[in-house]
Amino acid sequence: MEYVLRTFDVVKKYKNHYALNKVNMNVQKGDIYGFVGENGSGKTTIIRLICGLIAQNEGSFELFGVKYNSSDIHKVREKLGAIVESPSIYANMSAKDNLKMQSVLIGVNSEEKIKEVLEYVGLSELYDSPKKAGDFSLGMRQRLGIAMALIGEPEFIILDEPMNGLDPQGIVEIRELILKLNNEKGITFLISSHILTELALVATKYGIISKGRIIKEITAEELRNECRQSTEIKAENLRALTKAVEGKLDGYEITLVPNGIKIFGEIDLSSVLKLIIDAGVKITSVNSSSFSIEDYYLSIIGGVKND
Amino acid sequence: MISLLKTDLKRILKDKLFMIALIIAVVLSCTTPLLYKIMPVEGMEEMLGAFGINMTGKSVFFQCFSPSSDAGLIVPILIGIILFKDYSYGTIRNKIIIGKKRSSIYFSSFIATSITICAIILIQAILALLLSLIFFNYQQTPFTGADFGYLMLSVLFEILVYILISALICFLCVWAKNLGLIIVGYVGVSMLFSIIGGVIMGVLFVTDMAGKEINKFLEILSNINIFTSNLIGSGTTYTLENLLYILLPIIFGTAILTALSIILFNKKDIK
Repeated sequence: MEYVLRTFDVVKKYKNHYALNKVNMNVQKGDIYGFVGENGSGKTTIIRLICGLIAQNEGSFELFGVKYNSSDIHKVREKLGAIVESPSIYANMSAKDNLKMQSVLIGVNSEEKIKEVLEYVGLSELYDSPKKAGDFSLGMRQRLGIAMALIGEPEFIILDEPMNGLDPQGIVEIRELILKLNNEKGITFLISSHILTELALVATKYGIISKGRIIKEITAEELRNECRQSTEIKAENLRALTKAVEGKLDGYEITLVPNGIKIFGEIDLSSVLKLIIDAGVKITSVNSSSFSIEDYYLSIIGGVKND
Repeated sequence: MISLLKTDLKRILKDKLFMIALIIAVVLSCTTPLLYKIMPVEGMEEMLGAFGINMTGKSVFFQCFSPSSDAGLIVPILIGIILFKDYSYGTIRNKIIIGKKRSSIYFSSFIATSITICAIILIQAILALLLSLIFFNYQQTPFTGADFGYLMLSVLFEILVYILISALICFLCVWAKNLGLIIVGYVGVSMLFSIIGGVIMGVLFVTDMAGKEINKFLEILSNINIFTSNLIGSGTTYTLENLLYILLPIIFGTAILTALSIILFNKKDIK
């Protein structure tokens, strides 16, 4: 497995407050890693740390397999692009000038490249525009920030709360752009958000952070399974139970759980129970659950949904 | 490093404040010789002479160079404001994220600041010299090859003074959390040194205790104070003692400020 980022027991302390407390996370090549946590949970802190903007007190991390304190870390950072909190752009310059500055910095000073990235992020009309970046809408600034990150042809892009403050149209555009870059250029993403559902349409893996700790790392598929409607039926005799339903619940995904089975999807519970009872199996418990992604997230972080 | 320097120079030159600094410098370059010309009050020449100021092109040229002149105060502040935009816009993050070393980032901004400040001050001083040559002679004696060498050496020393000032501006940008602190910091340091220099000169002028130990000490303090020292460009040759007074504070000041800035910047959490 090729890892783009791995952190090992990273600790960041501000006086007596632990912003990060032994954080371990793994981002694989090609992932769109959704980094989810409530405000103040430590998402931006770990992003700043990875980007080299702050230093940790304990622990370590590897970027493209290179340790944070290695002399090669500066070299591998060239494969990185990031927007931390808000896009870092010169408000007094046009989009083209901002991109020119970034391209000079990276050493890819080409007008063609500037044109290409502006087109890619849907801002091609700004190529010849003298409009200053300070006058752009939040969505345009966000896209310009991504364009600046793209100039260096990064393999890994970190976006800190990229949907923050965007209107629904802007959210869709950024989401589509992320998917396009991941699919067409194979760019790995780490995207932070405090709203899990916001990431659900793009992420392939999630890291859930709360109070400076990674509580869970879960793939999108695992999350979908966790959030599907399911019914757990437990019986005194597991063998008899499986025999009772065997071949009678075609089309349903059934997995074994301790002393029972778990049936995914919407079922006619009364007929399934009748089927089992008729087979002479003694049921000990029946549990139906239907978690939304939000419910799941709240159950993980121990929060309460406010309806 | 070259790419960093290119971007730093580019963003300084593209900023409106750079043009404002240049305009202010050009306007100020005209005021000193014109003031000398339009206010030829009787006895003024003697009065200025008592303070070591002569109505000559040379005197005007080096007055314009002084860090305690109006341009010496305004230009570094304006360039400091441009420099700090890298922190306030957060664009300094772009440099760190793509793997530029913090020490390279610092040195690049220091060199860019030095180049810009020195260029503007030099333009101002040369314009003032050219204008004053219309009204006065370059100096009271004929201009010789030795004078040219002295002039070039003096210009070099003045440039070194402004490199020290650039180091101070860069240190303030690394240390300060907001723009206000940079302005207050630079004006404060400049005023403090000017006041101290003024008080020392006043004491020396009034007490006239030449030869006494305390006066010798005050003279040394006055000489090493770059904001008030008039050792550069005031004579016809440099004694070894004068060279030490000029170079030591510049070299030590620049080295200490640069070292402190790099230590601070390497430890700094970038917002």
